[in-house]
Amino acid sequence: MNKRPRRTIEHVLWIASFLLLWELIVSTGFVSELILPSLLDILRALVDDLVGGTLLLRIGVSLALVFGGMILGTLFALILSIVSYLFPLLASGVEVLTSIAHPLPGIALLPLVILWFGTGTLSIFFIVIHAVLWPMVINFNAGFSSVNRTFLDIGRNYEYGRWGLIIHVLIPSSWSYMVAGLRIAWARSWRAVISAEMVFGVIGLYGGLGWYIFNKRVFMDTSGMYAGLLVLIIIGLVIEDILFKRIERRVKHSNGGAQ
Amino acid sequence: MIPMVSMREISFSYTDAQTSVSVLEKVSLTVLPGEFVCILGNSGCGKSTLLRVLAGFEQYHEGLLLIEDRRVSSPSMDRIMIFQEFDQLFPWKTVYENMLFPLKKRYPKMSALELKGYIESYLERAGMLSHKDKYPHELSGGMKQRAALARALAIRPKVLLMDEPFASLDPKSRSAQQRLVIELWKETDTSVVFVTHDVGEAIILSDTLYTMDESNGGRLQRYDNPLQRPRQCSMEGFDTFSSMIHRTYD
Repeated sequence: MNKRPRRTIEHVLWIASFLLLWELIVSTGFVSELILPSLLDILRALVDDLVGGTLLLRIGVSLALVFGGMILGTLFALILSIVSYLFPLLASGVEVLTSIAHPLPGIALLPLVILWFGTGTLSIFFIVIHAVLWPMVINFNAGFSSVNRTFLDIGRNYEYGRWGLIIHVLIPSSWSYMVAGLRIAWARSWRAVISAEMVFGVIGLYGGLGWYIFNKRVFMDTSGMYAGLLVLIIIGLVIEDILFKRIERRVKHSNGGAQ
Repeated sequence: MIPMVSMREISFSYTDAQTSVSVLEKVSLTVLPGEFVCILGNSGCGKSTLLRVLAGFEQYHEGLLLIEDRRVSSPSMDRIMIFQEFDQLFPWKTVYENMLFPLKKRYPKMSALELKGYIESYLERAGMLSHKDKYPHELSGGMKQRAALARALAIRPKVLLMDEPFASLDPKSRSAQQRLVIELWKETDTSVVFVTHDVGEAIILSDTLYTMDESNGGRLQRYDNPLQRPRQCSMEGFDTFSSMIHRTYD
């Protein structure tokens, strides 16, 4: 129990030393400001773009793509997993499809997606769904197959049919698997969106955070570029270390300790 | 009187692609309304299977299973099973919610308020009222079994099926649970089929006691329990009855 605050203090101290080192290197003047601007410049660029500029919109666009894709991808995955559960023959088909598609990085599909959908939001959305769908299918399947048999018996005892069992037993007992899948899906889709935006965003109507960073580099606004990276880090930390940890703690017991 | 349960010459075997293992061969059992029946047997003798067939979880191949005079072959809330596993409350629901969801289905006409009072009365009798908003992982094994018992009885099944529900408890909470079962059973007209491998437990609980003989296809041997309730291990006649059972059982 005592360890956590101490570790937090250690973490803060480390961050402070990294920042100090950064400033020290900048103040020597050996490195060009175009490569390593001072922290103050980065912070100023960040505040300027947040308040007066389009940074908030960019963040919003990227997050909306990811969250929209995660919701849709999870829904598709749920459908595939339920179908697999109900029909063993289709299960092996879904299994093969998953093994083929899962290892493909979304960004590797970009050329293909450009051919199919062009370079708009739809293409990015496709990449996000690809990033979300397969890890979610794998996790739902794992959750469904590890459901405590006694829970299914109890559900049958309460006169639930197939669908009743799926809705009232199978899905809730897979919460922890779903959250683990969402965590992977988030990491994959967030990276995919940022990369895809760097490729497309210049043409697309609503560029996101990836395009923001890319654009800053094009105009040699290095401080702005670092500000974009800083935003990426902060969003990553908030979602992975705060949001997901909280949700995981809540669903920890959902499968009744069955592995 | 129409028996509550009539199992007539039921045969059951577990089959997979290659093999078929016969567990029950022409097993018959009659349970009267309100009767407390214990089935004694060593582990692996098929007594749990018998209970699963009674519950409708397993399909029997031969014979006939009647509840009152209706033929049954699938699970229903008329026959509620209590398992040995402590994990029989849904871990994503609180104790209260665990009771609410089958009861809403069982009593669709009850208002939310009536249901609440109804559930709380059963939780109180099982000594679980103060824990009603806890999640299963916050409860001890004995508390989980008490909650499962409260849930099962609140459904008011015609037959309560209990599969060694106290086998994993320490001796002290075990006898407390036995007293609770008897207490709650007496208030209802529910028949109970209670499976155990513990002779003492079977004698304490049962009106009628059956031993299961695995070498003979799970055929049951009947003994009427001569002891007056309430019973204790130290009472007169307990040892005599117990050693009589032991002679055939071991």
